Amino acid sequence: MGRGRSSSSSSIESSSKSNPFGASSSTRNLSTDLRLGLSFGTSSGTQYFNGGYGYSVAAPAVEDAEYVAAVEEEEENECNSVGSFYVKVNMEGVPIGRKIDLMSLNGYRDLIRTLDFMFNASILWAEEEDMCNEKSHVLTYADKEGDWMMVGDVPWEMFLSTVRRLKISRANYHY
Amino acid sequence: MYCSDPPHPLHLVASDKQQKDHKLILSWKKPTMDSDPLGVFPNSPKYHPYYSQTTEFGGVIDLGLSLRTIQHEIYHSSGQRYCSNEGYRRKWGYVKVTMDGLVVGRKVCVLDHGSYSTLAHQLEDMFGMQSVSGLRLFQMESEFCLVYRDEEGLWRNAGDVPWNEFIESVERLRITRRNDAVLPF
Repeated sequence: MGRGRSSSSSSIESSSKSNPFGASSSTRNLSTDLRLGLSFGTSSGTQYFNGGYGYSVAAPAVEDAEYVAAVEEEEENECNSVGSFYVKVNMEGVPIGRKIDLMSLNGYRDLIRTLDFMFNASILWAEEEDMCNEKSHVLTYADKEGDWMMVGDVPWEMFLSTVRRLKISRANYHY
Repeated sequence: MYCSDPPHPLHLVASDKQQKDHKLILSWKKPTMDSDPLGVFPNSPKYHPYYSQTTEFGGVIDLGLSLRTIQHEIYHSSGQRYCSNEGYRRKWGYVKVTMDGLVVGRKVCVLDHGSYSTLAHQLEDMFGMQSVSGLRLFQMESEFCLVYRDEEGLWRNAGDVPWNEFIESVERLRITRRNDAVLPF
């Protein structure tokens, strides 16, 4: 009888102990799993979103353009101080470009004479269009809208306000 | 010797140049390197808005709004450019002339002319050598026709309205082949 009682008590105690322990373990496991899952999901999503979708779509379209524009603006600001207005000049077929200060020139004829000397060329411009057969190159400029126009059609002051860069193109290609 | 001496100013200059090159390289490799955004965004203030937006849970919505903002800015920029061009035209009377197939355009002062015929003569001098028989604008048998963009941005056939109305609304001129003119721009 004593043995019977002891056995029964031991059985009850064992059950009581195992229940809370098991429950606690189960709760902790579930909590841990949930947290780990959420953490991985968030991290993975964030990285994927940054690297894959948002980054490639938004950043290059705006940042690259703004960055390049900023650099160009800085270059322009550095090159053109008060009293000078330097623009780039390239001649077709000549890999090395030049820069010329338009503010130091008196007008179109001065510009043409300077470029003829710089590039050892015979350059055509708007006022000499009737002599196109004798000239091998024509002077063109890119305006603030990016269109290439022939030099000499507009007054010199208006030309200075719109020119962005110069190019000496082959005359036969255009005419 | 300079390389071995880090505090030297030349070395600092070189370091700055390397940083600049590094930025340039990064800008080109953006789409392919996933780890870059995390490293680059905090350093550059330009990237911060996009970084903060993409890290939020509602990133999709934010990106949409962001794109709209970008488009708005582009439109505004275009508007400004258009206004600037209009200002120039009103002040000087000069408009751009382009001929289809030619890279280089010209400029004419519409206020210097009193009729379509004198304008046609000037355009003949400018572009007539592009065709064996000349432009012969406003003539029945000509293969070319002159179109202009008006103040509303619409392309119209030149010669339909009286000259005085034409010079008030013309913003840009274009010499096109008669066949092509039928096609919508």
